[in-house]
Amino acid sequence: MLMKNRIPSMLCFLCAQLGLITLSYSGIAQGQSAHLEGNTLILPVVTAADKAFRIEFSLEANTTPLRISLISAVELGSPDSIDISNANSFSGSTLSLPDISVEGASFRADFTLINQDPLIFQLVDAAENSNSAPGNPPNACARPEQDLSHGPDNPAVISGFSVDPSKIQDGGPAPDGIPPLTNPQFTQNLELAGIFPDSLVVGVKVGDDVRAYPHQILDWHEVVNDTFTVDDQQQQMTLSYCPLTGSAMMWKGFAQSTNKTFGTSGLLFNSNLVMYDRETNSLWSQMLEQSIRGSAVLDIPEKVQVVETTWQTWQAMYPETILMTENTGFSRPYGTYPYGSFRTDQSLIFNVDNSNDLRLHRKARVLGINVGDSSKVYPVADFGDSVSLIQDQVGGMDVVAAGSSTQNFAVLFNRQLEDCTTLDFTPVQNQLPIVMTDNEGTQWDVFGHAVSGPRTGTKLEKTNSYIAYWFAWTAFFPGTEIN
Amino acid sequence: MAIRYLASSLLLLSSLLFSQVQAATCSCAGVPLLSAIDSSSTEPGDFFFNYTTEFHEMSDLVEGTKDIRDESNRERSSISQVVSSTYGLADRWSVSGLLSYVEHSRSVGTSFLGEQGTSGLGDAVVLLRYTPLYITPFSRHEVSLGVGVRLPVGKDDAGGLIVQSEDMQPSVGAQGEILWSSYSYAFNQAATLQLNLSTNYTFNNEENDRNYSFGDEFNFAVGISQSIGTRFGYSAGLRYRTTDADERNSFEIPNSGGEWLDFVPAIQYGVTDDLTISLSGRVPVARDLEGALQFSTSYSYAFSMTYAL
Repeated sequence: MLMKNRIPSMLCFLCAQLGLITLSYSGIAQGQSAHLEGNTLILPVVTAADKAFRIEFSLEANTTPLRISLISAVELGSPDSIDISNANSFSGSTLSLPDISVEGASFRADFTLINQDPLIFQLVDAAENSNSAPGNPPNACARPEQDLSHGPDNPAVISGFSVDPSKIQDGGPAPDGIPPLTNPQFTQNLELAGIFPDSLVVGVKVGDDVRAYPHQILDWHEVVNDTFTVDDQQQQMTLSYCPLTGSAMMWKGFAQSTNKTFGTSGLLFNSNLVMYDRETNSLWSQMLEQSIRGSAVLDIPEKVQVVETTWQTWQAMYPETILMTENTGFSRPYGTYPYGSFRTDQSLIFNVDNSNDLRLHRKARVLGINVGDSSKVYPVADFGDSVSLIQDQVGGMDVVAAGSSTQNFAVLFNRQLEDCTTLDFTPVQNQLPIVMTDNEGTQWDVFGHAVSGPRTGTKLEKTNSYIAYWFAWTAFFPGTEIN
Repeated sequence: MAIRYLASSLLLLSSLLFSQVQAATCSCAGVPLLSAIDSSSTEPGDFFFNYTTEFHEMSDLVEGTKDIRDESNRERSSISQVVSSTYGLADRWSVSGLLSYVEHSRSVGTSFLGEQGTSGLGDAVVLLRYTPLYITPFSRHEVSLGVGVRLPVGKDDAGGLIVQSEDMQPSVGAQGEILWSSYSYAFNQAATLQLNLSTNYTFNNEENDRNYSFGDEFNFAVGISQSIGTRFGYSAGLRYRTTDADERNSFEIPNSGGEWLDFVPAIQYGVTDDLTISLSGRVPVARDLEGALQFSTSYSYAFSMTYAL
C-alpha cells in the first residue's frame, strides 16, 4: 500500500528530474499498446494509483531476465479522462503490460521493480496472447506494413545473386579503390570548415549527437564508417552516399553482424553504389537496401533516418552540429566534383534500366517512397520556397511529405500513428527544425519527433523513403508515380 | 647490304619505342600494339617475326597535371604478350599482322577484398605499309606510310558473372582504324646515327557490346637512335600521346582522355645477323589529364626479340 502510493509521486519526481512537462491531458483517445522502437520500450499509457503516465524504458543489453530502465515519464492527467481499458498498469511492485506488440505479435509481460533510483524493472513473466496473429498487430487498423527494403518481395536467388548479375557493372576502381572513411574527424569550428552555405550535406541526429557529412567529401569516399554513443555504448553506423545516383543512407549493420563496417565493392547496380560488408564480404545494393549476393543475401540493414539539405539549412536546424572535415587521411581534391557535369546534365555514365523515362530531368532530385507495389516520388524542386506539406496516400499508407525547394530538403513520414490516429498537419515556418504541427497541437521536427504538444516524446514512423536522382529511382522502380 | 642492315635494325629499334596503339586499357594505354610491329624497311620476300612482352604499372593518381598521393596502397598493372610478323609483299610494300594476349590485375592494399585479375586474347592489328623512300648510301631519308585496322578478336567480357570494367578487358571489343607514318633521317652515310619521327592516329568510332567506345588517339614520337659497332644500339626519345574522352551511348565519360609525354629509352643487341633483342622502358615526363582524377602510367618496361627469316 505504501509502495502503491509512492509510485505516482516517484514518477512525478522523475518527471521533474528529467525536466519533463507534466501535461494536462485533454481526453483524446490514446492507444495503450506497448511497443518497441529499437531498444526503447514505449508505454503510451500506464496507470498508477489515480494518475496516468506515458513512460519510455530502455532495454538493458545482455540481461537475463530482461531488465528495463526508465528513460522518461510524462504525466498525462487523471485516468478518468482517458480510455484506460487494457492499459498498462503499475501496482505494488509489479508493472503489468497486457498487450505488448513485438514484431507483429501480441504478448503480455509482467515486470517487477528491482531498483528505485534509477528505476529498474526485471521481467518475471511473459507469454504470447492467444488472440495474437503474426503479422497482424493487436488493435490493428488498416495500417499498411512498412517495406523494410526496396528489393522485390520474393526474389529468386540464382547463382548466389538476388538480382540479375549481368546488370551489375564494374565501375572501374578496384574494391575500396574509392576509399571508405573510418571514424572521420569532425569540427565544431564551422566558420573555418570551408564549405559553402548552399553545399549539400547529409545530416544525422542520433540522440543529442548531431553530425553533418558534406557531399563534397562523400563524393570521393562514398562510405563512412562512423561511431556514435548510444546509451553510453559505442555503436557502429555506416553512412553511404552514391554520387552517381544522389542517394544517401545510414545503416546500423545487419542482424547478427558483429563487424558492422562496410567497404566500397567497386561495383554498381543500375549505376548505384554496391557495398560489401566486412564480416561476410556479401554485396549490398544501397538503393535496394538489401544484400544481393553472399551469405547475407536478402538480409536487410537496420536503418537510421538522414536528412539531406544545404549546409546553411542544416546549421539553421541544428546550430550545435559538428561537421566532418577534409582531414580524412586521403589526398583528394575535395573542392572538385569528380564527375564533371554529370549532376546537372542528362548524361549517363553507366547503363541503367528504364533509361528512356524522361518524365523528369534525369538528375532531378526526388524524394521517393515504396509501399507494397506502389511507388511514388515527390520532386524536391516542387516543394514551395517556404516549408510546404503534401498529405497523400501511397499504397494505402497515409503519408505526409514536408519540404522546401529553397532550403533544399524533403522528408516523408507515415502520418497514421500506431494507435490508428491519422494526423492532419500544417506547415510551420521559421522554426527549423520544427516543420509542421498537427491538429492536436503537437509540433514535429524534421526527423519526425514530437517536440512540443500532447504527443511530446513520440515519433512519427519513418517511411522507407529517400532522395535520389530521378533516372536512378525510375531505373530501380519503373512505373513510379510522380506527384 | 651492311648499311641496309644497320638502317633496318635501327628503324626496328625506333619502332619498338615510338609507336603505340591502345588496346583495352585505361586512358594511359596499358598494352602496346603498334610498337610491336617493326617499321624497318622490308624487301620483297623478307619475313620478320617479333615477340614483345611488356609490364606496365598504372598506379599513379593524377589530378590534371598534379600527382596525387594515394594512401590506399593501390596496385594496377598489365602484362602483355604480343606476337607480330611482317612480310615484304613487293618492292616498297609490306604487311604486318599482330596478336596480343593480355593480363590485367588490380588491388587496393587497404581493402578486405583481394586482388582482381582478368586475362585473355587481346586485339589484333593488320597494317599495310608503303615505303616510297629508303635510307641507302644515296639517300639519307626514309618515309613510310601505313593504314591498318584493329580487330576485336579477343575477350571483352572478362570477369565472370559480373563483367569487369572496360580498362580491365583484354580487348577493346570494337574495331578501330589506324593511320600510321614514320620518317627517319640518317646523319651519316653509314646511317649509324638517325633521327626518327613517328605518328599514328586511331579512330575509335565503334561501341562495344556495353555501348562503350574509347576516345580517338594520336601519338607522335621523336628520338635519336645510334648503333655502336655492328651489334649494339641504343635510342632515346620522347613520345607525346593524346586521347579524346571515352564515351558510352555518346555521352563522354568523366575522367578519361588527356595528354601524356613520356621518355622512352631502349637498348638493342644483335645476337646474330638474324636475331635481335632489345629492352625498353617508359617513364612519364609530363601529363595533363581530363577530369578530376585519373590513373596513369607509373612506368613500363618491355623485352622484345625479332627474328629475320
